[in-house]
Amino acid sequence: MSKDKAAVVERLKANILPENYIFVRKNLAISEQVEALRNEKGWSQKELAQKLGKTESEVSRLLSGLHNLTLKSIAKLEAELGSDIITTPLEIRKKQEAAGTFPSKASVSELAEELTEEYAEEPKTDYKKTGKESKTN
Amino acid sequence: MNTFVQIERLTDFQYQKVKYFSVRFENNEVNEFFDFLNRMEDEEVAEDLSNLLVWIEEIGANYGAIKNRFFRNESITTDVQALPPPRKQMETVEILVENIRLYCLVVNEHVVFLFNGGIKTTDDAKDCPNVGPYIKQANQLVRKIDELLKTKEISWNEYQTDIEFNKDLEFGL
Repeated sequence: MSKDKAAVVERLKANILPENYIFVRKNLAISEQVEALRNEKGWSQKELAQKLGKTESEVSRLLSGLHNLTLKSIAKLEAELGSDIITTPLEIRKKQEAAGTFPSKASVSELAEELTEEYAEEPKTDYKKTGKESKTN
Repeated sequence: MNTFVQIERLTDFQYQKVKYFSVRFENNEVNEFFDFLNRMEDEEVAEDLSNLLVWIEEIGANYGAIKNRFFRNESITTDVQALPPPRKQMETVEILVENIRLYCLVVNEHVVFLFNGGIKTTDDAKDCPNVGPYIKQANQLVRKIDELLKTKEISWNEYQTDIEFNKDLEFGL
């Protein structure tokens, strides 16, 4: 039986997992952070690429929000930009404790939950349907 | 002989920051973006396709179509661009998800046309039998849409956050 071509979006969206949402959102958040740091330093995209030993095209691919960034790439970016790009909730807690600003009652998991609330939100579209349901279309 | 093409608003992809559109060739069952999705659906790229759809939504809802940041325009020149384009002519850009290339037109931060694409198999996309024809097609579409914007057959809303056009508007390619 031929498939309903017009229903392709519905079928594909039904197969999207929460992890796809998390991957893209965190990826874009990293890209935005790098862009903010680059602007703060007054570097052009070309200058950043040169510092990373990459071409502009390679850097744009790296920061497109769809590339599977390695921790090594992120470390290189942090080293060149001289600033954290990703920070864990526990690191934040330690910094807050050192500064005396940590709310004493919050546990690490509560803090993580608060910090990652954005990623845990229900997506606007229903990504939690199973693939099986979608294949019945 | 010309093939007639109509512009379609992608109703499932209308967000606060970006409105997405595609084009549909006469006699085709679906628009070019849906054709791309249908073809990719049959390939072993489910995860990349899921990420692409989420990315389109995230860019649309939260970021806007920032051309030099999220879209690339390297290696998309073809023989249709043998003549140097006039200044400020719009260009075809691409979205990359691993080996998948989706060609598009970023009209501004709020309006994006999603065309067609495929899985790139050669170093130079122009030589790739999978994506080469779609680069050429995208370049032709970009030129036509650029003309329609200039002649105001496609017009802007007040704040240039959306476009308007007659639903019967069609052009030859």
